[in-house]
Amino acid sequence: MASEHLQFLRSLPRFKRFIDAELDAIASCIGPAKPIASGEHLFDRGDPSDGAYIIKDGLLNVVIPLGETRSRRVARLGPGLMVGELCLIESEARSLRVIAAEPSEVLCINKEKFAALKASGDVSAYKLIHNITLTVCDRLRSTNLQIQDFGTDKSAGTTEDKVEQKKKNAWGQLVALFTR
Amino acid sequence: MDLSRLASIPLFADLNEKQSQVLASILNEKSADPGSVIFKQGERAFSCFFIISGQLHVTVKGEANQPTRKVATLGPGEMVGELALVDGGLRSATCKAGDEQVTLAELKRDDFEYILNAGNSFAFRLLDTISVGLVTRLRDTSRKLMMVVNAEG
Repeated sequence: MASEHLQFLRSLPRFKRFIDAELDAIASCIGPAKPIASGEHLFDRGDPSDGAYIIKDGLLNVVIPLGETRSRRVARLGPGLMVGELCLIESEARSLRVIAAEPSEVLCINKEKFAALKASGDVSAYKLIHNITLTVCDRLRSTNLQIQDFGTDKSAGTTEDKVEQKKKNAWGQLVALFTR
Repeated sequence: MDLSRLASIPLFADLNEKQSQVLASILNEKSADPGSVIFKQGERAFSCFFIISGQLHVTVKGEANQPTRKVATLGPGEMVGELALVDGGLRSATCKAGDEQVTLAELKRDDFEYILNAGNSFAFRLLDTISVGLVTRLRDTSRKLMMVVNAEG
């Protein structure tokens, strides 16, 4: 199984500083490629996290559910990109919904297998964590300045315009957050 | 630097002799006068600091007409500047020494990456701590934003 994924992993920018033995170790945490039909959920908000997904083929929409019926897309991800990867660092239920926008195929880095790899002190696991942490830094920096104003802006919420402005601003930041 | 000065910091506890030697050779001890600037928001940065003694005040410039805000006061055993340690980007806050002399241990990004890739377990431990902290911050941030967009309307 592992060797089948090796070639694909090797082609991804995220893994460019990994040597083959390290890629092998990561690939050993990945099961068979999983097909997702167009419109099918890869996961939904509140689902327990099972691992990080790498898109092998197709297109996925990252969506924020709004109440029971509405939702809004914050990102569209194509081949080679990863989604749901924070659970490899610290596991929590999914906070977003991910839906296939067309027939797609994903690889899952299994959370438990990855944790075992990490516990064994394997450097490849930490290289991937470092890599994911870099994305986390990038995302944090995208919101760093603006976010603080949410807590301190005492004038906000006094008029409808301001509420709307605040919401628009928040959407902008969420999009910035999830397209990284 | 003399690692015994870091012994009270859990991150540095229980290291074997080899790891201790490596760390002693790459950490730099720094002393800062009361009130002096350790680093400024917006500066290019390549290191993080562990506080050995004294206190640090962390402030962030406000947007446009908002005033500068104090975001944290940190004491012995705590770490500052971890974003730059990971990505080598700009300082996201300004950090100043408190009312007393401050002693710090500085870890440079290049050295961190070197010991990480060499499989040093201190580097693993440090990365675990930093990554969990940053993921928590990111989740808090996105939770706050989602609360705003989910508010009625």
